[in-house]
Amino acid sequence: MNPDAPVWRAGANVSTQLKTEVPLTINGKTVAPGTYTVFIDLKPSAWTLIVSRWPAQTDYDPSNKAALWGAYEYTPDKDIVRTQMMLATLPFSVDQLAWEFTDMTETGGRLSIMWDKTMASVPFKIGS
Amino acid sequence: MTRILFATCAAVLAMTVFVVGQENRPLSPNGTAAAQVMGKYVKPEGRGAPALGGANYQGGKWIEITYGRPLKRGRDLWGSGANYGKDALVGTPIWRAGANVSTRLKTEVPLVINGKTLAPGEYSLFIDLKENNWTFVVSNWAAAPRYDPNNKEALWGSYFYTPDKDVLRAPMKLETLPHSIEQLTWGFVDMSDSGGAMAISWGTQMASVPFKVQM
Repeated sequence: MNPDAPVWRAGANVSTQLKTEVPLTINGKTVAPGTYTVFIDLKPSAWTLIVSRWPAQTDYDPSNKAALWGAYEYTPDKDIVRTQMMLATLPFSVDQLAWEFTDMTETGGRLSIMWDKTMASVPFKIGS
Repeated sequence: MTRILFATCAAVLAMTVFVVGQENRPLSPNGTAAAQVMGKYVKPEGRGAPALGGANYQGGKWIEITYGRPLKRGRDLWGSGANYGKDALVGTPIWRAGANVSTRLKTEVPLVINGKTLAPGEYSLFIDLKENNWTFVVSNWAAAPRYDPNNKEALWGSYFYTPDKDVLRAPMKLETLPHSIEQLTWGFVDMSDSGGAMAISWGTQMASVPFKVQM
């Protein structure tokens, strides 16, 4: 999507962040309680969700090499989880990009992103 | 003991008017849904803007819905039969279609909904909940920023709503989603330069109302 950003920030401006108070299991890997950045590797018909330890900058600062603004200069060395997303086509077009928790139960649910007619989601379980 | 009982009652009362969770975090966080119309994509000189499509959208007018976003948290949202909508209404005459403060629609352009023109401005939104029959209500009722039973000029949520300030009512299209949305969401769908639809989704229920932008 952008020549300087190797993955998609899956949002706008500041990096998309996932904050959890409980351990989550995504694709067999444990995401310990904490705050993470989330990116998506966009390939045709193959989206990969990335949970990363890269901290997020709150304002764009090109001299700050310890944190990212959006997905600029993202590197995969701080990845915690990578997992294939399930892609689905919605019967309507969503105008404003939306992240949602879907199909939630006590034991888990799905992290879902919707934009235009595309919905991409990954399942997660609560607990390690 | 009396003090504890009083404190408990006060706590319960506080929760009913402004639900606050751990660390003062509201149980139904605030949300906004926005759309822009009547603007143009302008591509700057050189390599383009760092935005999807490489162009900036300029001169657009905003249409925005602000609302509280309750979570489903495993509950049956709507009920059925005589109890349909009862839990969502929490004793009010109409649904606030959100949480906490009244749901608000702010538009910088005139909109046409169900044949009626809505002038630029700010309004409260409500939904009349009947099983298989939802009605979108745009009202001139002002929104109270916090619950104040002495304030008769503005509403907190949909408590004490009356229809005399209705600007328009429109039937909503009800659809069942292929997934369940955990946190109530307002959104703009099927947008074009000439209009689109305002849609509310919660659980597997989606309800939408089409609108046109008056040029």
